[in-house]
Amino acid sequence: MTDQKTQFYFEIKDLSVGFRTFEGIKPVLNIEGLGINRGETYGLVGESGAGKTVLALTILGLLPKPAGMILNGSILFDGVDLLKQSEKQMAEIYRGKRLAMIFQDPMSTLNPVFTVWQQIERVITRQEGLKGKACLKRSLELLDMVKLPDTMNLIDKYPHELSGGQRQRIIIAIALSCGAEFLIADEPTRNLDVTIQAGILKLIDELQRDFKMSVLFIGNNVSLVNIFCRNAGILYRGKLVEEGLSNCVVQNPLHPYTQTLISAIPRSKSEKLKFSKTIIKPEAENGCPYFSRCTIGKENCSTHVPMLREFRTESSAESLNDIQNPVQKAACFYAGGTI
Amino acid sequence: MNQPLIKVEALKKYFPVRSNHLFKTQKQWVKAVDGIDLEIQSGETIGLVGESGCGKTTLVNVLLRLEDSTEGSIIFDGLDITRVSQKMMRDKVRKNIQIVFQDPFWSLNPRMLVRNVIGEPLSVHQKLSGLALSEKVESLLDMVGLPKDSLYKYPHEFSGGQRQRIAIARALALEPKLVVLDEPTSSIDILSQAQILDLLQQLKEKLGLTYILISHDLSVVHYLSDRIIVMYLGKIVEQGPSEVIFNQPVHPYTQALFNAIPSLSMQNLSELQTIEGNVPSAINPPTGCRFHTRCPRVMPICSEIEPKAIYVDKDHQAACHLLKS
Ligand SMILES: Nc1ncnc2c1ncn2[C@@H]1O[C@H](COP(=O)(O)OP(=O)(O)OP(=O)(O)O)[C@@H](O)[C@H]1O
Ligand SMILES: Nc1ncnc2c1ncn2[C@@H]1O[C@H](COP(=O)(O)OP(=O)(O)O)[C@@H](O)[C@H]1O
Ligand code: SF4
Ligand code: SF4
Ligand SMILES: [Mg+2]
Ligand SMILES: [Mg+2]
Repeated sequence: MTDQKTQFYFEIKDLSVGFRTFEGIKPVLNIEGLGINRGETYGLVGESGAGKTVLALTILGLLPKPAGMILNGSILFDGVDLLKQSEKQMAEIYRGKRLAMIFQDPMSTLNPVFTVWQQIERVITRQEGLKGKACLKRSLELLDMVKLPDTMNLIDKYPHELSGGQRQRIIIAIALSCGAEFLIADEPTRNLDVTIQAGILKLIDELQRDFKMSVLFIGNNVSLVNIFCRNAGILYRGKLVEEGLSNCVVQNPLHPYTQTLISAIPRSKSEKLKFSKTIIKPEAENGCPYFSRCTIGKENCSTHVPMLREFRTESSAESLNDIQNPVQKAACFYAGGTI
Repeated sequence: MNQPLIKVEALKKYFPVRSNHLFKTQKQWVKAVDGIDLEIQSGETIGLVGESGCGKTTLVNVLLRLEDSTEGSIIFDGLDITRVSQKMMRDKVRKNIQIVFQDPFWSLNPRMLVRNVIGEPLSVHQKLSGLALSEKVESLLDMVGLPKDSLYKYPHEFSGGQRQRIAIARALALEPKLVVLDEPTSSIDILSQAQILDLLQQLKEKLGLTYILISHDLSVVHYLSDRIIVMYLGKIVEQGPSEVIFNQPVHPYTQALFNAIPSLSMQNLSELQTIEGNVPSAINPPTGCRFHTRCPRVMPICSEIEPKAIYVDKDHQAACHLLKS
């Protein structure tokens, strides 16, 4: 992900997405560049409203129309610009086929009036042309793959008769039935208990390895992204403000926002939170998106937009000596103190 | 030890459900809270943890008398509130127990000015109005760190974190003794969350409040709580001082629950533990120890005899056959 010259399997370039509002077009996403290699896991962290779901929808061609507008940029997947594909091509070749998706609320993805079997049958018949016994056999295989118990019994149940964790496993089974190469998982465990969360993550991890899938994992929990993903990107108000190996980003955050985010994670009772006063400065319309909350911002931050710059940090060099040129990027004029 | 602020004994809350089996309709009970004993000292923060559906909200609703209990007693400040009339509850008890809900946006009336949102309990209970009301609300706004000019704004003009501050100011208006915090920070971003936790901690110290905190985020529970109560299927399985429960939990369920929390120090998914299987139904909970269907250390006795809560240390109780007092 670090070498600009290599071709990424999946790459976002100069993407800008906005929503039409009464006051004009409101920009919500502005990503200069984001690349994911084949078989790699990339975790995108950002708070509520940062634009994570909008990004997932944009990739899949599901941005609500006509409010949502792609203003600029390209999303290259295996050499093809997804933004230039017709809706028909997206539906027939990519969405739910080469690109799989799992959303945060399994109830909204499953249809409450159909049994598990009815939901899976439709997908498998459509995708693999299987019918009758063969289709049932394949369905049971898929339910086994996601480690659901007692599949013969379970397949006749309705979504509301299942637990949140079971529902999410069924979503995963359906999503991955097509042998996707790229998985977008938008906070797949957000509505689940921690006890169930670990199981779902291990399942996705195992399937990712088995199928050598690339994964864009969206989450608001930095610890989780760090455990789950090799690379991490931090999204703030639609902009990628930091990127690097997730280990490095967590241990040595460069951007003031990432630093605050990581120090804000309460660790123990003995550790007092490091900040309690909000500094609210006016927004810098033409400057750094973090200016209004940044404690170290200076005059020029409010008039210039910082671009992602590369840093070579000690921790990245030490912790990953097998990787050449471990690079961390941050979009801040004063990142890391010394430059 | 002082007399506790709340003493709960053998508390049960069953909800009737009807299950339709072709010809006969059978009446069954969801045993949401099934025999709970607990004491809360004045000035303590109690963290209530457990998986979804284990009965945390139901327990709190019964404590607030938003639901009537099925059995048992709740002595609040010397009075058994399961037996008092609704009028007595309203006049004497209600103002002492307040709740801050998960999503302040919905718990605050969107068409009310902040002055009235926060001031409503004051005008109802203390008959305050006009300038006196405004002044009192201003002091509450100041206490939760909001500017005075918020008075004449509507809730939607504030961010999630600020709306949560408004909800806290409203809950504190009548100077309650006990404040229930049900998922107080789960709908706000992490920077605001830290500030809200800090505010809650400061207010508690300043006003001598007692909190009952419910949160799925165990790091929030850890940060705020003095004592932790772990629930499983309507029962308390372990309770004790926060540090003890987080660092040396003795009940297999508590251990599994805490080992499932991702932390910044973890490097690998294998460090995250899972609990096999699903939470059983609260209609027909497992016999013996309710956790026996998922417990990694289950023994033959566990499905037959229900373990009693025993003291493993001063202030530290757990209910498991593996333990000796
Ligand atoms: N009004 C009701 N009628 C029937 N069953 C109910 C009712 N309220 C709660 N229950 C059941 O009681 C049990 C406990 O519910 P409760 O909402 O108290 O759990 P919880 O721990 O607060 O869960 P969560 O963390 O998801 O909020 C569940 O099995 C629930 O389905
Ligand atoms: N249909 C829509 N119309 C207008 N604005 C929208 C719409 N959907 C999302 N937005 C805005 O886009 C931004 C990002 O939203 P979203 O992607 O949902 O954030 P996240 O998933 O990170 O919580 C927010 O400011 C949100 O208000
Ligand atoms: S560019 Fe300036 S305002 Fe933006 S994060 Fe860096 S120091 Fe802060
Ligand atoms: S009593 Fe038995 S089943 Fe229950 S927690 Fe203890 S060991 Fe596990
Ligand atoms: Mg989202
Ligand atoms: Mg609840």
